[in-house]
Amino acid sequence: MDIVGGFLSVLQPGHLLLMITGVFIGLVFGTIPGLSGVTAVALLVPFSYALGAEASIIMMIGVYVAATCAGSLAAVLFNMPGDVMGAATARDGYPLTQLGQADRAIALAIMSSAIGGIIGAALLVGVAPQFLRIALQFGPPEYFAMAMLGMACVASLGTGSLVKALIAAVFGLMLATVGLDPVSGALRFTFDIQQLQGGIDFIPAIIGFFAVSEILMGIYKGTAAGTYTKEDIRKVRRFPMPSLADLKATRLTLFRSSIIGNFVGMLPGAGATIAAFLGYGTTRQLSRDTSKFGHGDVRGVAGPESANNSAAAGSMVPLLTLGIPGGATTAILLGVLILNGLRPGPLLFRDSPEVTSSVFASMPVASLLVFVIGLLTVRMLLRLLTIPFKVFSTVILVFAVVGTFAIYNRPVDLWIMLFCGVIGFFAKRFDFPIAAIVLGLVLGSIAETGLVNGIGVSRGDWGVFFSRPFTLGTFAAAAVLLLAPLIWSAVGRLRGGETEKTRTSA
Amino acid sequence: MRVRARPHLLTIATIALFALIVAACGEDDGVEEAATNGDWPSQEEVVADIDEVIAQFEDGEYDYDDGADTDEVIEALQEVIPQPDDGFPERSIEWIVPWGEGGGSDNYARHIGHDAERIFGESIVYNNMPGASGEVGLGHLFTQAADGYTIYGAIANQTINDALGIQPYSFVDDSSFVIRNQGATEIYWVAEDSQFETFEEMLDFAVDNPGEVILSGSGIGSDDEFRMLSLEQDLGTEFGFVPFDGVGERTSALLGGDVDVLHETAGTIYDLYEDGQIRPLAYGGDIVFEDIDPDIPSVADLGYDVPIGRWRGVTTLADVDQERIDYMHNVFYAAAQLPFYTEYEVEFFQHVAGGYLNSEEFEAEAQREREQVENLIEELDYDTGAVEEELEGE
Repeated sequence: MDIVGGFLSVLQPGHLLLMITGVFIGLVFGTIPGLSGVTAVALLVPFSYALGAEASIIMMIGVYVAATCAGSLAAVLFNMPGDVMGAATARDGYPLTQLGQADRAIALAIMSSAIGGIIGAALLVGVAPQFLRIALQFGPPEYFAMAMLGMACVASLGTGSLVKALIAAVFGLMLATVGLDPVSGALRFTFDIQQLQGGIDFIPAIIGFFAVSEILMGIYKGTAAGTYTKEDIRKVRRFPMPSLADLKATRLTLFRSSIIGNFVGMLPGAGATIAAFLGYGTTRQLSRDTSKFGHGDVRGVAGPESANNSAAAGSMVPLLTLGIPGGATTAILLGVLILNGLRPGPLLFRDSPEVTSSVFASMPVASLLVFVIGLLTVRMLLRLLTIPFKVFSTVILVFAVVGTFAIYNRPVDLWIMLFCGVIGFFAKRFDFPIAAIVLGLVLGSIAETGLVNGIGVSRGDWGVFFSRPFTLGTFAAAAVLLLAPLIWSAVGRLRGGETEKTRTSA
Repeated sequence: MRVRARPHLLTIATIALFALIVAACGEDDGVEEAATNGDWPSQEEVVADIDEVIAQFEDGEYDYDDGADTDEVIEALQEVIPQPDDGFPERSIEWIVPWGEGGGSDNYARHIGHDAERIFGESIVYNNMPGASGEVGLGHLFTQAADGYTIYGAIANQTINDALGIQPYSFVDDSSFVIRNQGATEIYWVAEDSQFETFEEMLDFAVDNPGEVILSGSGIGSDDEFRMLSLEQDLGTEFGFVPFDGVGERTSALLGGDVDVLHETAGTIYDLYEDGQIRPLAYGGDIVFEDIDPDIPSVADLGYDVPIGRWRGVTTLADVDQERIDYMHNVFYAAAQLPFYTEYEVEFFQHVAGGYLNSEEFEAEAQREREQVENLIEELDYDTGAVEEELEGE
């Protein structure tokens, strides 16, 4: 692969300008709750007819990378993640905003994104060609195992009650069953509403769960919106690099999450979504001192953010080599490649080397641009927090409606959004983790088709889920993730009061 | 004699004039149809005119510039395609694409629409509305006015879903069929190292070992599944059917050895064939694609039924005025002959299958397909939960 040629192509003035435009669009769409990177990419598709393959892919990757980061900025600022991955970042990012440290959280999130993106892209160049062989071993049983690994992250999402987290996850799985059954073609839970046959798509659902419910919550008991003043913002530097102390506290997390994220992201299917939750889950479950998680721990921001962005780079591998998208945005990127006459597959590297090397070179360049442009806009972003809630909520509701409708143009999605908003409000009110509902919804259909097709390819043998090396390994990883806190507490009990002391001092 | 002949001529002329006046007045009296049908050419006649223009275009007589608003060949086509008297279309036409951006149906719509827009002189607005294998978009179509300004990009799934009877409407009965442009290009593929050398070897193995051969295609209730079910019925055996939504998942399942045979369009995985990673066993329909491998048989050649194939076409609501349907048929037919579309067909290996049907043929074919699928459903006792439910209800 001609990576130098790729960089030369990306750094051409025309292409660089397109990428900066893309990064800017991605940041704007990603940060505004209700809109999302998917909306941005979907709206840009028609332009790619005019731009040609290479230019449009470079621009789209700019949007994709920026929106991946910006989805979490919305999570940090307003507790309204722009995408599923942002939900993991919200858990510790938003408490920091409530503590008046929004600039610290945002700067760290942007920094983690960039580091994750760059480590991910570097790994990509080295590992991608070898990875294809492993990826072909990845069949339905492996998808099921992956989904279960993702579900295991639910354990780290509960704010105290594991039972409530499980109830929320199962509710999410139930939402995933609505619509035309992918396996038998039967209608499930459609209540004779024809439009519901399409099922509950996760984009209207997350806009409802994250944005609408937060507005309802704001009416109920207030949010961080409107609580910042101009003086608060004036104190923030124009280019607010994260503090050395924060970097020191998160350096191990950043490194580990970037590597985990990259590999999980490379796995075909829902890699990118699972990666962010694994980034959060591993960070929390492997830490000895977990007392601050959920209340504004910087590691809880750095972990999912770096994993998330590193996975975005990793998800280019199944996309380009197998034509399997890892999420809604990459599914549209796949469409862009196809409509430009490129057939993603093992031969893409040979037949269109300029496109693949541009894709790989675009990832780190886009990450750098996100870093620079992102940090430059921190003060602008914080200004959003000075908008009074009554104005803010009205505008966001408009964006939520527009963003929901713009993706599939289906009126029913608006009702789904409202429904999820109301459910989300009550979930928040009674401390059910919304992230677990969304995780269930996203992973539900992957788990279901993985399970049924897995039994299909093994001709009815359930043993397939434990006899294949990858599935076994994945189940083992899920077990470790679930059991790690128990092990830590056992270790703590053996050491007696030592852990108690760190807890109280923290 | 000459002199006496004149009054006759005069009488004839007078009668003719009178008839014309009556015909002209008739427009206000509701007998418009009888009058306009007389000079409104059939789809076949216009198609012949369009073919003539296209032949001239191919001889280099007209300029073609797909980036311009119009060009010589578009103007020549506009000349031979009669427009409805009411000036249709006077505003943009909405095309409901019931699948996502960048997918097969989206590509078809946007490529044929590119030159159709220029002939219409009005733009086409593409509305991607995915869900329930096309039925969410179709359900939306049926809520729109029957004026021809909303059209729908249909594929074979719609006739199957109609046969399954799980929708509150009937696709075949409630639609006007405008034009079908694309025929099926599916091929039965195996991985290069597969144990099966020929299609019949695979079938023999399946007959001896029911349930052992795993086939893959694009989802339950798809044309892929019904072609397989039809084979099962002919042979009296069973395959395992493991559907995947994405072509990427399907091909990696084939290459990774999880499925034995993949029923997939030629265009999407031609690269793998060229690279020697997969090989074709048989053509899924009744056409042998000479460009791919002339020595491979088609399923129909081997003597098996082919109930349905993955076609693509345009439909709209049942009550749309016939002149508008004819006009749209003619415009889309013309657009499908121009380079922007034909080059796309070649690129996606769609040109091998032909598949053009005019409105009448398209409707007849859809009815035939629905009947055949209905028979299969009945004979096989095909069990979607929904079908059972309906039977219980009766």
